[in-house]
Amino acid sequence: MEALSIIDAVLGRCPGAASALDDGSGSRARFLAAFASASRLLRRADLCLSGPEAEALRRAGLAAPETLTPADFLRARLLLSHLAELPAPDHAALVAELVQTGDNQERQAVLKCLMLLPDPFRFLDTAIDAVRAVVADTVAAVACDNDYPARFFPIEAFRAMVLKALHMGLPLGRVRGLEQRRDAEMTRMGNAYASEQRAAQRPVSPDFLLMTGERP
Amino acid sequence: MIMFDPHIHMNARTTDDYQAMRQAGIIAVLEPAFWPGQTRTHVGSVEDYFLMLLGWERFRASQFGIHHFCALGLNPKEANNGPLAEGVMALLPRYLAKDSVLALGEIGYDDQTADEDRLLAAQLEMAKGLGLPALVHTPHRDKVRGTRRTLDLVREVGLPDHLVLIDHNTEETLPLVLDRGCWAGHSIYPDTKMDEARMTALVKQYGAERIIVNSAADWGVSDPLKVPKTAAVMAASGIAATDIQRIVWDNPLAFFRQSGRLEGVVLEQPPMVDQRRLHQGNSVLRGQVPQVEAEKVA
Repeated sequence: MEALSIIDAVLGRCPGAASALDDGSGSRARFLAAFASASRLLRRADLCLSGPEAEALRRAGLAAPETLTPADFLRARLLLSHLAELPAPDHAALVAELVQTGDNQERQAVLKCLMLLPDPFRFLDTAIDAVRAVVADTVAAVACDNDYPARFFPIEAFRAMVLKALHMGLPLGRVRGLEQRRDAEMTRMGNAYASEQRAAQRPVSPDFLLMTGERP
Repeated sequence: MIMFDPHIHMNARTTDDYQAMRQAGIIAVLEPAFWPGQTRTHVGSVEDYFLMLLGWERFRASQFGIHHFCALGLNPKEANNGPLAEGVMALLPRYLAKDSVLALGEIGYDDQTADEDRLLAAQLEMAKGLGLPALVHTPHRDKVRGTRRTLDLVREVGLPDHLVLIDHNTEETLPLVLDRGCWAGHSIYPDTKMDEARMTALVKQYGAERIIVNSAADWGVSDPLKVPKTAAVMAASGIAATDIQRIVWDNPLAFFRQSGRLEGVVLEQPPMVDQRRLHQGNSVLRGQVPQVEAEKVA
């Protein structure tokens, strides 16, 4: 998988990553401990993706690889390695468990890299449920810069996600596939949002126009 | 003036709040079951929460001279979590039978999914079977559609309109609710939902019949004194004291009396404070001298 070699190259430039990957292999307990400790195990907090690396990751399904932190990449790599050792029928339960028992950073890392995981449609319930969070960054991990919802969400869940993102002040311009999946019901929801805000004399986010299609 | 806050999540509030509320005239509260701000992962945490609303929280309120009642139900935000939701539905018949439970609530829609439809209908059926009122939350998103859908479902199930309190109304939803004959709650919030001035304008337009206000105060930025503060703004804007009294006391009381569980309870008389009392061996005091009231008339 091309993404795997790029992630390995990126992590190769992060002091601490090699030993962290080593810590996370061998057993479920070691994996879970390393997954939780990822940001402490890395000794740098930033990374520079080269243009070709970013492009390759985009091709592999990460819509905005430059928004991922080194710890996100380390967690993605740990998860991919661990999934490779598990029988496929156990994959969805593991991903659900990581989101349910993770802290916000763990959760967001899993959600941001869903498109890199094998057969990602299997994680649909987890992704839809994550949008019900009240932590804006967790909702954004699914809703923004992520091709997953446009690709896999049923239209009802996609519309609900867009409306939730709007109410949370997340930029709808970063919701992938919004224009392609916009329909009459989403337009109605966008207009209903604007009407309610105006009736309450509250500011109307101009992003609602992305739901109604009045702004490209 | 005595007041009833019919929607407040006291288990997220402090004893300072209880003291300030009592001082401002609030002598009764109803605490609807809520979610904890993040996802619950086990039905056991819901059961312990129910027990807390029936036990410790009720005791805590009494220690500050406030009657405490609750509404129990499956929270809309948790209706989409299959195992948790089914577990809560199985708990409800046992817990809805308790004396201090005056309604099913807060139930309603969040994302307006098919699971939410099914579980809301099932809970409205429970209310109908038990003859209990239902406190129904309206969704934060796509509110007008959610309100219409709620009102239609109430009719479909056949729960009488007068047993339904539709909450968190706005300018757009209030006329729909009043037209149907349901009671209309309004959550007065520092920023979102509804504020004192908008609420006052609504009362001037629609009158006081079946109108209720609450603070919906919880663990977020919210204000447990919003009922008295709204009453003050209404008074200052010339709304008659009798109408204000209806809104902050008579109406919520009349609505929850329909449960049949307030017979013989004189709510106008606040509980006598006796801070020497213990709940399961536990006191609200931390070394303070207990306050003990001989007799108190509001």
